[in-house]
Amino acid sequence: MSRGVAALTVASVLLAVCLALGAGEVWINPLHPLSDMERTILWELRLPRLLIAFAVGGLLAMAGSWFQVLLGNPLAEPYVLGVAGSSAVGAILTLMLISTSIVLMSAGAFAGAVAGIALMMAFVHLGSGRLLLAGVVLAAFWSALITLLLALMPNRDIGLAFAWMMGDLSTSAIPIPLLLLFWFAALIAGLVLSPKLDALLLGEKHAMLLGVNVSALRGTILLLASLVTAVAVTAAGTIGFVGLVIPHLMRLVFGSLHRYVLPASAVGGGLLLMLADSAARTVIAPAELPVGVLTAMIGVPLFLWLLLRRN
Amino acid sequence: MRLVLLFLMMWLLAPQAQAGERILALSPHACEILADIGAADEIVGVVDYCDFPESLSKLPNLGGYNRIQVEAAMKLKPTLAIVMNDGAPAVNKLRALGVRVEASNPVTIDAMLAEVERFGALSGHQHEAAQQVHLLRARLARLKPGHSQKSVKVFYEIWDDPLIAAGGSSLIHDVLTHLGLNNVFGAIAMEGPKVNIEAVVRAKPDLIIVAAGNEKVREQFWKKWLGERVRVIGVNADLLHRPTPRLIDGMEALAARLSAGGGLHE
Amino acid sequence: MSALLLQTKGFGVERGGRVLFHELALDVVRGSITVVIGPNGAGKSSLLLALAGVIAHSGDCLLQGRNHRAVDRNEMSRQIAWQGELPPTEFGLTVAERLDLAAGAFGASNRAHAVEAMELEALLHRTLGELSSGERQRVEIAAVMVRDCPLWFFDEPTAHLDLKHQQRVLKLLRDAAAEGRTIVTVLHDLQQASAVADQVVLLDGHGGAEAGEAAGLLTSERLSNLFQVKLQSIHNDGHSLLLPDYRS
Repeated sequence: MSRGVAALTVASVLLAVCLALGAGEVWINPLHPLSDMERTILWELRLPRLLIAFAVGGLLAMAGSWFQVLLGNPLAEPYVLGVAGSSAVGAILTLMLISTSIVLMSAGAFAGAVAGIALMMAFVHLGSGRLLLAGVVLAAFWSALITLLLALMPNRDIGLAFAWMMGDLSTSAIPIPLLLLFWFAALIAGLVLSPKLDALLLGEKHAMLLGVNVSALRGTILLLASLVTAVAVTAAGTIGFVGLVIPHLMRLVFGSLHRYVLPASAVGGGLLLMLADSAARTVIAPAELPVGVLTAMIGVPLFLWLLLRRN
Repeated sequence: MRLVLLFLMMWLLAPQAQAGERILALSPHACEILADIGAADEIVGVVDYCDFPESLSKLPNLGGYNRIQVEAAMKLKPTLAIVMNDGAPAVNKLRALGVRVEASNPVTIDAMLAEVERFGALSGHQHEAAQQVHLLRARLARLKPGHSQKSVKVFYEIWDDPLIAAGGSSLIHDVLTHLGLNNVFGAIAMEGPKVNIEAVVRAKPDLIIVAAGNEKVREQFWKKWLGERVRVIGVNADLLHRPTPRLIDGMEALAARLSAGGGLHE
Repeated sequence: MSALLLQTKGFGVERGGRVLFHELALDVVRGSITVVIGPNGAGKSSLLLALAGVIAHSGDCLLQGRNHRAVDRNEMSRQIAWQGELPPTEFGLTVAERLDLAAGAFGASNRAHAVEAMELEALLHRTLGELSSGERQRVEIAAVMVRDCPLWFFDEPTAHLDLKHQQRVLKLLRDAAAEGRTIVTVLHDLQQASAVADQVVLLDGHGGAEAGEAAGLLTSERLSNLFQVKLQSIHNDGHSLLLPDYRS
């Protein structure tokens, strides 16, 4: 990684952190002496949010890069195989049948995600084309199920269901230290698998002839990527676009090899989500926009610009 | 002859007052208001959550306010339907089948009182309606604070997680304003905006109103962020969220609690 | 170092329930070039993949004296480098990155030579998607050369290439064999086959497989039968050229 790029990365991280800490209805300058209230806001509200955003954004971006190589398709992203759909079903069922508590809904989301993953594992041996097809169809099924549940549920709960699906970074059902640890563990696991994933970029036959056990690798990556997505969705709801756009952006800057793309995505995804969250908190303050809206607003133009530029 | 003319005049002047109306009360507030003005007997069909008075829940239930079962409704041979969403397909169907449709969606106290009068005319109970409105206005007048009172800043917590406030276009906002309270999020032109803790801390409310039953937990929570000074009280959501005469009951209860705690008018 | 790198007995491959070929007895000697010939669908590509341990096969095969099936994936990859289908271009891999991947864990000791031989210096920083199919083919050939493997498998190495590069590749094969590299390649063009082959494997497309010396098998009667095409024999400079008559 060239020194210029490294410097740019560090600068971006610092900028995003400052924005995340500083922005909001109250613009706080972290460098000046703080009043008690400002200190409370900074440490107990903005810092946890920043950390959750960073971890979740990084997890989604890592998962996105893995799904893209697993399915051999750059349009893949963490929700393409239906993990988000099944976890939303889990959260909504919990909402309808058990409790409106966010913690329990998150547990339901995780259970839903696990069920979705288990289903997908049955198809992984079919090869990437069929796996993608199965996943897309399954995702559509979860979508239909969600619509059904929304139609059946009492009107007052519909708002809650949507609020969960649109994503919320202010709290996480998973304790923050655990979330950060998971981010780190996912990054390490991914780096270990990077050489084999790189081989998979050449196609299955080439990968096999480079000594890779392709079927084992595909199963492992599907499991890892799905688990990472499940954790992200459990912590913060279904936030889109991070997992699709960030890996591509990182490939443009750092090349296609996973040993660079992966850590770059882990950090870049975190940055994007931190920025999106800062904007979500500030744009119509004191009210908040759903953060998924901001990732789309930032992510989609960025993605389209990338597409045009690549031509 | 004069009697006949008088009768004729009354009959002509009140063209909407047909005795024996068969009314579909397709929203909870329509049910309550009609019952309140003595028109409960005219109601033939209701929807979900038409639970006050309780006798109404025994009537045929035609679905949710946004999912009306038209066939079941028509079997009841209705003459008038009072609905919330005028453009909904089911509503259009009812209109096409010859049922008179009136839309009702009051979001302020004044609008609610206007509806009481209007329902009176629609159901042929103008007299009771006028009486009821007169009484309600009197009670409201007693609730209005005097001019020299300092305004208390209030945050009305509609939901705890995600944190949702009562915005400027909500009925609650009108209620709070009428009671002389200053809704800290009144400037947001939404009904139920999502806010974050930071915004509440920044607004420094003196009073926080939450849903009854959740009081203790929320009190602990908000005292942590705003200090011991803040007062947290719980209210019966049903009484304050529905644009019906019971709203005034809710307002009186709230006012009583506030002055009992010495917090309403400083 | 034994001279016999590959030895098969009763070797056969099936696909989709159909036997492509069976009972192939093939001995591949170090430093030789074995060319696989046959009509479409006869199983030529499958033969390479089966020898490389990627697809299943019946019968036995010894790789450097060891039972093929007992050799683990990594070791196989150390022994054999394969050129086959063009890798996908969706992910924006550059030529340089693709060559790095070919080296894998084994080191790219021969990279500079591979780049030079296939004239890739100017293309190193272009992405695979930007290249013509001929250029991508050259990258694939170079990828085989990057590592220092004893066995090189090629599946139609001259496909997509212009005449100049076709000739270059064939010369490359001959030079590599002379240096001790062992080559097994599928070729469609009969002239190219006869120009490089020491040994030939004929797959007839009906399950039959035969291996033997090139001179003995590359005759107009055998090949006319194999391809169901009339071949003429033209003598040129002491060599025989076998040409189909496209005008008939």
